[in-house]
Amino acid sequence: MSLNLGDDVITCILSKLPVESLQRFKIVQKSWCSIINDPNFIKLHIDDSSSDINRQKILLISSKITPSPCLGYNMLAFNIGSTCASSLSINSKVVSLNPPNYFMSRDISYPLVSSCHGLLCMVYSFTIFIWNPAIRKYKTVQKPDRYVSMLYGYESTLYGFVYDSSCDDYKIIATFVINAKDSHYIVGIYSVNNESWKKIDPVPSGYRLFDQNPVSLDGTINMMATRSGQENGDRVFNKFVIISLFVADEKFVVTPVPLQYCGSRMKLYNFANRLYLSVFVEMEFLVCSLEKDGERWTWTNVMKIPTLSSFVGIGENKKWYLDDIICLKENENILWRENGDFLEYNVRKQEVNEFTLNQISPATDSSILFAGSLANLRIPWD
Amino acid sequence: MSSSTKFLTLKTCDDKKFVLDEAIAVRSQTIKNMVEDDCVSNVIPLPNVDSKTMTKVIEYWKKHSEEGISKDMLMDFDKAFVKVHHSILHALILAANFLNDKEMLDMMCQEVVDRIKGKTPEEIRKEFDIKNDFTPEEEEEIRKENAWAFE
Repeated sequence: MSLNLGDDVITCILSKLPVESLQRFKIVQKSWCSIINDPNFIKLHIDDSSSDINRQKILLISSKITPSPCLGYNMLAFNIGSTCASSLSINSKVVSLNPPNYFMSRDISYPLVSSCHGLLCMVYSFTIFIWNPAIRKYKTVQKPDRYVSMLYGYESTLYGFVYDSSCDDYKIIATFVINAKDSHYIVGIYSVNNESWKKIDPVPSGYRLFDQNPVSLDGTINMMATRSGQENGDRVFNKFVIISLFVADEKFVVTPVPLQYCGSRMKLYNFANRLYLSVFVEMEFLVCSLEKDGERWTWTNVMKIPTLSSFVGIGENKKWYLDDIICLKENENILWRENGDFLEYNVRKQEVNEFTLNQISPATDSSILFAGSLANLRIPWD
Repeated sequence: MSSSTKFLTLKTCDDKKFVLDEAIAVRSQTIKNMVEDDCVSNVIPLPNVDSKTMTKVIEYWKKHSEEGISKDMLMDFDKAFVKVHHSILHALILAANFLNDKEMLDMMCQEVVDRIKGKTPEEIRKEFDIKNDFTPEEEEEIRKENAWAFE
């Protein structure tokens, strides 16, 4: 029996496929090829895959075990896979990502990596690359250091990478820590379409930013910060806030963290297009999620894990000392990483499942989530 | 409007009739629109769906309308439901698309995705019964551009 499913249904099926299959299926038929190459389809595919945690990949960056003359680190990726713990096992297929040759020859330092729409923004000591590993294309971006370093000495820089739907543009946000003690920050924003940096308003004063990668979500860049107050004549930082930069209008929005969610080791995440905050409060580990309501964030769901701190987290003699969640799975299981080892916590059953992946170096330093896509830039790749 | 159960009669392309509770039949956005627009006479014709396929669709609708059924039970049902030959699966997809039941369509498209994601273009053409309309040169060109995808 021959059935023509029609372009609508084919589009629906193709939008659920991983990017590797899409590349391969371009030669099935001309009509498939034109659907896959269509910018609207690419957008649909990005929307579908970035909001589904099961379709994301975990990217791990680790030091090389065998020293290599050209590259000082390894980049490995594997799928989160379906919802059961056993699916992410020793058999998970780990793929090694190879940054283009250019990266290696110029700059072998360890990159800071953030992701958006399947694009990786890799910040090295001297340059920034925007790279789509799925289509193997990259674009070089000049770092903003030049104009800033002439004016100021700065301590460190936080980089965020975000999509601005108001102008169909990708933007890099660089926050220069001029003087963390006096909480003085300068913010630069890079437009990929215009290929230029500009300075925008500084981070609202009176806040001290956490030294954590900013979290990008739906046109915003989000950072944890503390607010200073006076106590016995001394300046103390004891109140917590989330500072969000809305890139379309370049405005900062400050959202206080409710008192009951304030604690130690607070960290922000984006899991499947939702913003989460994890925190240890007393002996409980909390995961709260935030919902964007216009230009405000509202606090919604809280997941409390009272038993966890007796097993992992705070305290002595704990085998696991974890504050880096990799992801919150669809079944609400939490996946942690400690170097190259993984731990999955089943929230419903309060069970812990440990596993190691063969190919993954124990010297794994950082991990991010990304959903492979066919995303292109509006300007030509290098 | 009465609160008692209303029944609709659906007629498939092979002239078989199905009498179905309206509350269940309106899982189809297509039927729902017809009911709301009041253009339902006695029988709703479904010119694009055969009776064999419609029987399966109704089985799915009834299961998903059962009161008090758990999420896990539905997941097991769905898993078994899609375990059919690809020609039947494709017929079901076309029916779900025509009837405009997005939930059912998504679930079945996902099954197709799981089946095809690891396959070669040749296997895909066979499964979907589609012809390669590229010239060898054009095909070679695209293969070259995406060479790593075929490794």
